[in-house]
Amino acid sequence: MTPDARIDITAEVCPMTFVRTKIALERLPIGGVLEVRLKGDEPLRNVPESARDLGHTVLGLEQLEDGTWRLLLRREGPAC
Amino acid sequence: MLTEPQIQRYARQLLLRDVGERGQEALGAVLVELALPDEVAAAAAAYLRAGGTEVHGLALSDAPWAWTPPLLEAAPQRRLHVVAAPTVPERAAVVVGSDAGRAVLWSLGESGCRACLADGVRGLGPPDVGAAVQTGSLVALLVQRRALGLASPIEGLALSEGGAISTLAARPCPHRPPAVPEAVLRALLIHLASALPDEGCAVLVGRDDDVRLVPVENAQATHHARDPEAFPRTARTAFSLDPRAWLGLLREVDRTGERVLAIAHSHPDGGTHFSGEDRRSAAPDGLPLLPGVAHLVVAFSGGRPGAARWALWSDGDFLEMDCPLPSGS
Repeated sequence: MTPDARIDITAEVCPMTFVRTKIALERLPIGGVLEVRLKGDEPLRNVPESARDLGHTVLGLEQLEDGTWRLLLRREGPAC
Repeated sequence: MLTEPQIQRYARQLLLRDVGERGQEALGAVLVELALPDEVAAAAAAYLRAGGTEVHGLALSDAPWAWTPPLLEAAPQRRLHVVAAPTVPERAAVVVGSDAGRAVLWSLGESGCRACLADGVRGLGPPDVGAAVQTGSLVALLVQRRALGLASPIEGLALSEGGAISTLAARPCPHRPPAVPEAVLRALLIHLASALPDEGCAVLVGRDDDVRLVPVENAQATHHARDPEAFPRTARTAFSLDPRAWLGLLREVDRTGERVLAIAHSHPDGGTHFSGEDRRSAAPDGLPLLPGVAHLVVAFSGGRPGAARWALWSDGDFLEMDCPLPSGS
């Protein structure tokens, strides 16, 4: 699946990990897909969960060869 | 779109569901003008600025909170005026006052009724500076709710001496007629037409925006036949809600949580004026029998509805205003 937007939050720490993700989702049209590159236990646990809490859909989560993770989110509306 | 410094600065509130980037931009698009005692204004200004909303002081104050920023990042799209009771200037959006030791705040939106705001503020004293920080925080809360589009047309908060915060219920607005959906108006016209050549009557009940029609029989003919002295008018020139139906309806709305919004009746002779007889019936001793309930008069001419007018009780008299009828009715 080709995402509509990509962000890399591997250099961020909480709460900026989800702040970046939330803003990127808000900038997408409803139904748009966001790819989030992340690493570390905290964002791996919190970013998908926080996105779900706001009503968005987690489409996939996979570990890449370099040890980072690729999270795919679909923006649902209207709540952000 | 927020700048990187703005994202860093407002990160915590960007996480809130009701804020986000668009909400933060809305907070930044408001300029708040405070005309409050310095102690309350300073607290409100601190909370508002921390949330990204700029503040100007209207009071003649040289206190630090009242500084005027030399240049705003962008021209404000909205100005919200916060004033101290008991004055309520025409443009006031938030009024801060006190009542028996409580801080009382009312907030009014563009679609809110200014007369209701005046009613809420009536009798309040100026803000008590003893609870300035808490009162200032509530000013900020009401302004932010307004900026974010979360606020009701009119809403109020009270802060007790012990620090407890409670919401103040805005009573149903008596200054504006209820918003009646076109389908309900059409059903009303059909019902009233069915009573011709007599006057017809009905009740509109509802909850929030959900309004429904309750057709009621005009019992005037029965009353007149039974006791023409007490009821000299016939159903051609008067109406009387059937008492059994009326009592049953009152019990029903009590059970469902609805309200009686309006009593409608027709004038088969073509006039929409809320007549002297109508006024005497609705407010026999100069006080409305049904406070907060509007009256709707639909005038018929040649068997067809011609026009309609609302009559609303306000400050000792009935105010009349047009009620647009659906096209083709």
